[in-house]
Amino acid sequence: MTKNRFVASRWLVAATLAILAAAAPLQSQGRGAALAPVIPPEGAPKGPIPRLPNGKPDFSGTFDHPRVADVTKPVNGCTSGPGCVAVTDTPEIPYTPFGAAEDKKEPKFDYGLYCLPWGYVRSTETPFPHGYIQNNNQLVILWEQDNFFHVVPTDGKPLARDLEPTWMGTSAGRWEGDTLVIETGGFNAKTWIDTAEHVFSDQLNVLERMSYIDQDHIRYELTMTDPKMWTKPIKNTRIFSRMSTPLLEYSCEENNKEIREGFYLENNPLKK
Amino acid sequence: MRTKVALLMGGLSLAAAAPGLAHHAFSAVFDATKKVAVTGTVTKFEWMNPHIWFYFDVKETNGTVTSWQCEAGPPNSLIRQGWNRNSLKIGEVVSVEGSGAKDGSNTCSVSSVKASDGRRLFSGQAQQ
Repeated sequence: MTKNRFVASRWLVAATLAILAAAAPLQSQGRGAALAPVIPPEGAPKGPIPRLPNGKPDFSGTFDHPRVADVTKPVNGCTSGPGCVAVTDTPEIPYTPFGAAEDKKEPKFDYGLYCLPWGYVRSTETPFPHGYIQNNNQLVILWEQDNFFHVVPTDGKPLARDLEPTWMGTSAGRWEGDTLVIETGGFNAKTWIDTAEHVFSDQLNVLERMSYIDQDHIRYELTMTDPKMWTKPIKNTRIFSRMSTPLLEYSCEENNKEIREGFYLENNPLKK
Repeated sequence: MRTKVALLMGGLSLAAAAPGLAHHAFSAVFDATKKVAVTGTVTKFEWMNPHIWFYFDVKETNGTVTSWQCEAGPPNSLIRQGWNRNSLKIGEVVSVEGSGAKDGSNTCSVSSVKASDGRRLFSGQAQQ
């Protein structure tokens, strides 16, 4: 209990420091009302929120997120403006001996360089926003990064076990009041949890909790567990901010110098 | 046209090179401490994913011409900032600052592009 209190208190301190460090109010830029400089706990949203025909919160829309390049560091701001926050209660990755050895392996294969999927967790940390399309039965996540998508059934069925390993994993969603809880597993472990190249194993389990703070801001809580790699869960809590502009096209392959020309510096016509 | 090519060792932050980080391993290609400042005439402009590239010729003081290629952010991010495929014209003179390539080739990841009329290209909001 004491340890839990310590963790909670450390998280609150980290959240407050991260946000105050920016010394700027979290104004949403044409995205709704100004946001108080804290990540509030889960609870009833401020004012009315969009709802589905079945009465559950409807997250449909385009949202900007913090660019989380490293899950051990806080972020203040969205990819294209203010209004987002990311706080962490994991200032250092709690590697197991096996995980530490895996982390030290170099060089790591940079799958993003070859336009392979960014992976489920990292896709929501990219330099570009994401969106949701939702109905009573499912939530579809649309990432502008590589124009990728992922379908989350929200019918409450538990996540199947012995899943086929995939880049983006398999998800199962359920409601706890007005909070959408998404559990995702079945990863092929070829990606990272962030751009800082923090690796994970096929044992990764991702738990996300999404709830509205107000109609333009989503509270997003990410808890990652991987007993093979980490001695305790990695937790990150974020605020997403609604955007008034649509998602845009992004084609990683189009003029990709690495793919079209090989590692372009090795084939650089201007090379000295 | 008087041109200036300066390779300055400096502490250019990785944040300035963030567009590179978005797609590939910036550190595998560019040296964030190798600050590049070049002025030249645009010969080719690729407004394409995953990063825009532009090519320009730099006239050295001895009269020779050196070709350069530099990358900036992706079109989707630049569109949100108000830029588009017409923001840079062939024949335009630009002053470019950024991080140089590790292999010493005339390649850079830009942190700043300034047109001869003073416009700052591909950073902040476009001037309408």
